[in-house]
Amino acid sequence: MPPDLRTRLLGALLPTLLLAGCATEVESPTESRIGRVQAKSGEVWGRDLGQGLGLEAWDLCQELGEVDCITDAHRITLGGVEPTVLGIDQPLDNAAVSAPIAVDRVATSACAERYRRDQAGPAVLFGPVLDGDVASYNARLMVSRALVERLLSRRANADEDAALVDLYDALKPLSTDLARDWSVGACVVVATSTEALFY
Amino acid sequence: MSLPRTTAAAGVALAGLALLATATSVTAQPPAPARFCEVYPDAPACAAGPADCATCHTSPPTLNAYGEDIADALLPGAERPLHEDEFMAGLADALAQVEGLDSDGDLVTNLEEIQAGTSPADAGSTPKPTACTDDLDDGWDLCGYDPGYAYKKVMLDFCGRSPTLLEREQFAAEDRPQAALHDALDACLDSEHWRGRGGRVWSLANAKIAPQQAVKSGVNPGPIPLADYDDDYAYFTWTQTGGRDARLVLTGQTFVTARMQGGATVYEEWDRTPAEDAALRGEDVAQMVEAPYRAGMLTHRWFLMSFTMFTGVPRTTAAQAYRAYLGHDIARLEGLEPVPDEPVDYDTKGVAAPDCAVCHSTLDPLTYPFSRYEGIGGGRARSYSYAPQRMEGFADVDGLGVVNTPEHGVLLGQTVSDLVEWAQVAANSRDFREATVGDYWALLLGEAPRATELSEYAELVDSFGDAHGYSVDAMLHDLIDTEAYGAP
Repeated sequence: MPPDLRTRLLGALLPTLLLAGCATEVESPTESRIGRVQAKSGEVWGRDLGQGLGLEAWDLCQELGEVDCITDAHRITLGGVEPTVLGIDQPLDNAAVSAPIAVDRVATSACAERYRRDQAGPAVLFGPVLDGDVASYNARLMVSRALVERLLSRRANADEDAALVDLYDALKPLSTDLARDWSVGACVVVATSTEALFY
Repeated sequence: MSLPRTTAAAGVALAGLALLATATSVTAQPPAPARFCEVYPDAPACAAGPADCATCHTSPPTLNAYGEDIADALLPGAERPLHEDEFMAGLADALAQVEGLDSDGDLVTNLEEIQAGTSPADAGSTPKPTACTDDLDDGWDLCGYDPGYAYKKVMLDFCGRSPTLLEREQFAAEDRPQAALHDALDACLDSEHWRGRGGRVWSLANAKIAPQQAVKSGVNPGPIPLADYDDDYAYFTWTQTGGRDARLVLTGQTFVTARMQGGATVYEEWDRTPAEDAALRGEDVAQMVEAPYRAGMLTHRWFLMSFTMFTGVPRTTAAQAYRAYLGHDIARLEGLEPVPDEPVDYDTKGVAAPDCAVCHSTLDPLTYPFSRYEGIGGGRARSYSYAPQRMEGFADVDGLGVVNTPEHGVLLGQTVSDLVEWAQVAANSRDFREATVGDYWALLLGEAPRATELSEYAELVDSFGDAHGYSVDAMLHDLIDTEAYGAP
């Protein structure tokens, strides 16, 4: 793995962990009487990711630049089936141990690709940070809200605004490219949230 | 002749008694679910018929914690195993004795769990508060059916993507949200995600078809090309979409091909004789059963190749048909309806032995109508074709008695003269309606109906054969209106 990519991965994953640590401070939602939650298949989650990030399916993630992560490389791990050769005709009953890794892999790749394209312009998502200054609270707030609107199809609430915007402070002592690492990291946080993965 | 139809629960009585005879303690008692519901007629678990075996068992005959408590309370001191009469006579009293216990240790008594429709044997299954409060402004109405939530699910389930923020806001502004919801469903039922090649309906056939690329013929053939399951997938998806009568999956006498056109899957129905099909598509894919003997997917080349193979009395084929289209897995003692004087054991496989007869008294008469359809080979018939004299070819392997295997059989307690009638009886049965609705329920909700959902599930099953005219599309329009689907 190129050092640049490794740095980017670490930079992106760190805020995910940090946000998870903050999760207990957010008010618990009302408990559902039904309590029925299903995982999106990799195909559906990938379609949501592509829709939110403005990317075609193939552009989200490829292994070795040749194999589609969702439809091929991590197909079963991400809840898909392969009945004709492997005989797996139903999604696995329980998520594979490697499922979180695959999810992070796809989300990181897709978010980094969006950032790369926005850098080349015209920007679709990260414009406020790229055009202005990632140190600007308002620039980060605009991107944070756009991420929630595009990836979760709803408005962000105040807790979410704060959690995403404040990732900047956590990354500041660690990152050598704060605009990139905050943008990709915030994107991965939203794209791999429970709400994005389940319904 | 029509044999008296027993209930599913009573039908498996002999199987349970056979188990009882070989077990050392009180085990599965098939009439017990019905008795349970006589004692608790208003329990949600009894809304759609006898209670599920899982009420007292982990997997019959093994008891769960609640079942163990009942077993302890049931005629203590009486010699085991109990006779069915003793069991039935003592069950109501035993149920009453354990009502106040908390078998699963979740701080809710067994009786409270039964009344609430939760499991008295599962600490993770407890009654939810009946009074609902939803003070948080988090976008969902957690106290009942929420059209906005149902809309999001429809988009994900049927269109394969979440609605965008704009689409959600437009939906929220609708004056008639339920009508808009059904418009969205109509649009999504035409999506590739739902009805296309490799889509959700197509994939629903995976377990029914059991494809194996290694023996596929046609497009993208395997190393040993014997039959093409693409015909089966296309036919299945065609019967389940476009408002068609889903019974065609068992009773249809035509075939369907799927092809891509402009990014969309197009299904084309066709009807050819075996000779015409072989001439047009090739010997390695041609459907070989003449029209009068066709029974939907049961007589497709792939089905006969894959399940009958070289077998004289094709029990595996019948068991797969029973499992895939009627929802009864005989290997799990489901759908047992023993036929008197069966199994005869025409092919000298030893199935008349008492332990085997528990299942084979149902399975063998279920199988006979399949016996005139050739698999890969072995009989005196062309591969994958219908041939009345087929059994003669198995005498040297299975014994002379195999020639006497009748073509008529018994399905769901009803005598059928051949496989075409078998398919008609199956397609018109409640079992078929339940299996079909159950397939889509599990597909969309990720699990079988919960005890508290059995009444609306039963309504759906009834309507499927009535108001819906066996149209899956029509049934789905009602399914998305259920509380089970639309309540967050």
